[in-house]
Formats: sequence, structure tokens, C-alpha cells
Amino acid sequence: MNRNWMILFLLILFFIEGSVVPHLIPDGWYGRIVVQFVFVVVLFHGVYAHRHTALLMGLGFGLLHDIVYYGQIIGPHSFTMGLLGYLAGTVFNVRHKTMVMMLFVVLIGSFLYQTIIYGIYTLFSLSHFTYQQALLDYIIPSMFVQLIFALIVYVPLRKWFDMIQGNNKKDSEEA
Amino acid sequence: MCMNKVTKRHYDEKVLTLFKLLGNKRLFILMLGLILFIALMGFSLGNRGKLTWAEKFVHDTSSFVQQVFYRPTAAVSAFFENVSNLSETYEENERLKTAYAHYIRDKAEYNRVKADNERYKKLLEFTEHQKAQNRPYEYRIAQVTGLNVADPFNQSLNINLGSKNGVQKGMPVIAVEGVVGVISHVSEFSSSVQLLTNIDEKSRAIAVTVQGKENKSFGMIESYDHSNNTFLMTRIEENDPLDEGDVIVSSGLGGKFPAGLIIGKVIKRQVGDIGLTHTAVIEPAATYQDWRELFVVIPPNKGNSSQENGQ
Repeated sequence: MNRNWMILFLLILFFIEGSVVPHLIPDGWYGRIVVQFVFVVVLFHGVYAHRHTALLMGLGFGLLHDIVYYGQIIGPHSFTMGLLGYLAGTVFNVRHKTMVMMLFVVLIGSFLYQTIIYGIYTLFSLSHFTYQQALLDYIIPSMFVQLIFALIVYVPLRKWFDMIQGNNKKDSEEA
Repeated sequence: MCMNKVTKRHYDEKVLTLFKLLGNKRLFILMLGLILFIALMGFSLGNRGKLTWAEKFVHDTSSFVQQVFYRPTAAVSAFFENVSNLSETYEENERLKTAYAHYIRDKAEYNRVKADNERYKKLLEFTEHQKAQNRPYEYRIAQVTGLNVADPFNQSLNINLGSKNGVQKGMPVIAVEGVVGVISHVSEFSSSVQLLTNIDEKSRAIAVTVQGKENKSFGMIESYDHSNNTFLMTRIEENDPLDEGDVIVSSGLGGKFPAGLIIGKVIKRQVGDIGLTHTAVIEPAATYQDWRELFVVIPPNKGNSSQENGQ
């Protein structure tokens, strides 16, 4: 049940990302601030839920993004989100999951995400930046936007995940 | 044997988790996924004519839902913008009054020229096809449903008009100020628009000319400079009358992009890389903002061609 609510939450977040957020970004900064709120929540899944959940969520919502904003190619967001969600779940599968660690994951994740997307577009010769330009132009500024979003949603999401895990434990005990 | 297994497991646990990732099965699945995705990207990269029904369904549904979010937000943001612009209202009113007076004067002139034009067409015995080509464009008003802010290489937006409303791939989309982009993919009830800022050497260049010197000037808009936010216009002849401050409009040569749509203003003219032709730096007329409504331009010989064939 909780899983379904989470999917609904991510769907709403996805729609907000394309419709409400553009109004919040000042006109001159369009293209310089890249918003990946759904991806941040996928990373939370990787660390606090399970890597397979993160993989599936990443693949699904990445594909949704690819289809809804289909410009030149389908696939890069799906691939990157799935891969990084899974990696976050594998590498940070430790006992003590602190807030600082989660924020670190979000920073690195956002950086890797943009780098892989840049790589894919360069591979298909669709990009018009050099890597250094891309880094200064939008990768580093948007890392901080992701960080701020992660800070805002950390507490409620953490509670939510704890609740889900508590429920799961109960279920397994009853069984 | 059993002993081996135990030591192996022990070893596995000790080894870094990252190392674990390179286990055989996982590596195999990762490789398979990579190949699949590269294939998918390669497949979707080409010039695809029509979308599959699944893509259309997802696109239509999410555009519809997004619109529910987009419109109220746009209204609120427009309200705040209006409040902050309140002080300029008086000046704007004065400007509009002058513009309206000009318009009334030009309208009389236009009516006369139009009547003349009709008469000449009759005298010169234009064919039906030629007449159809000179018909004015049809403008369809479209609501923006969402903007892509997650990918700087794919600046696109979605609108709520689709193939059911007569929209086709390649039609220009304009704001009041000028050209915004081109329809890139069409679903039944929605379509996506590639912004003109995505233009590069690989996509089709737009033939342009100077407003007021349509027959003397020629050039191509080929690329967009992301660091300066300007277009580069190339292949301008040396003796071309193009000058700084001129308004650049599409010329309609080549047939794909209809004529007369405003693209930008010339900032600078310079000698090109090779020295044979000149290039010009163009400031876009329609810069990015949170558009609420855009117009899809339907050229007369495109939108109704099927109906005419039927008659």
C-alpha cells in the first residue's frame, strides 16, 4: 500500500517538475539550473529502501521523462537514473545511514547523472558544449539545487521510509 | 570443497562492496542493459516518422495531467508579474495608443493593396495551387503544458494540440515576439516542441532574410551559441545590404519553414571563417520565459492539403 503512495508521490513530483518549477526559475537562468527532484527521491530509495526498488523506480520514471520530453533520443534518463539508483543502493548499503551521508550521495549522484547524460549526448554527437563549459555552466550550479531539495525533503522522507520498513518487519513477523 | 566455499564467502564479505559489483552475473546483466539501452537510443535517434501508440498514450495522458498543474501556476505567476508591472501601465497605454493609430492608418492601405492584389491575380490567371500558396497562415492557439528543465541538451516543451487538431511535424511555433521552436513529435492530443535554441549543424538550417529587403538579402540560421545566447547567421554575401539592427525573418526558401516569421535582430556583422562570405550575430526575438500560450503556424498548403485532394 505504502509503495503505491510512493509511486503517486513521485508521479506528482514529476508533473510539478515540468509545470510548477519552471515558474520558480528566473527567466535568465533557464538551462543553467537543471532540476532532478525525482532522481533525488530515487537516490533516497537506494539508500533507505532497497537497491532493486531504486533500480525499478529509476528505470520507470526515467523512461517516463524520456517519453514525455522526447526530443532526439529515448533512453538516457532511464538508463542513468536506474544505474545510479542501483549503485547508490549497492555502495551505501551500510548500517549507520546519516543525514550527511545522504546529502553526499545526492551531491555525487547529481554530478554523475549530469556527467553520464553529457557523455551519452556526446556519444551521439548531439551536445554543443565542451565538458568544461558544461561543468561551469550547469552541472555545478544544479548540484546545489539538488542539495537544497534533498535538505527540504530529508526529514519527511526519512520518516516515511522508517515507517515502511517498520510495516515490513511487522508483516514478516506475522508471517 | 565445502571448506573452499566457506573461505570464499568470508573473503567476499571482506572485499569492498564496489568490488562485489563486478561479480559475474551482475556484470553480465549490466552489460546486457547497456547494450539494450544503446540500441534503444540508436533506434530512437533516427528520423522517426510516427510514434507508437504507447508513446502517444503516455504523452497525451501526462500532458493532460501536467496542464492541471501548469495553468494555475502560470496564472499566479502572471498575477505577480502584472502587479510588479503596474507602474509601467501608463507608459504602455500611451505606446499602444500610438501603435493603434498607426494600425488604423495601415489597415486602410492594406485593404486597398489587398483588393489590388486580388485583381492582379485574376488578371494574371493564377492557378488554384498558386492561390493556395499565397493564402495567409492559420494560427492555432496552444496552451503550454510543461517545460523540460531536466536536460540542457534537449530544451523542449509540450503543448496541448495534437494531430487531431491538424498539427504536423515540422510546423513552426511562435510567441507574440517571434519564433520559439518547431514541432518535433506529434501525438493525438498533444505534441512536443523543440526550441530553436537546440538548432545545430546536424539539424536542418533555416533560410532567412532581412525584413524590408526580402529580395536582396539571404542567409542561413545554422547554430546557436549557448554562451552568448545568440544565433549565428551564415552564408551572407559580401555585397548584401544586411546591417546592424535589421530584423531577421524567415524567407521561406527551401519550402520547409514558412516565410515572414520573425527570428531576431542583427547585433553584429563580420567576415566569416573562410573569408568568402560574411556571418552575422543574431539576438533571438523570443527569449525563454514561462509561456502560457503559443501559436502553431499552419501554412495554407500544409494544413488543408488532404481536404483539397479530396475535393
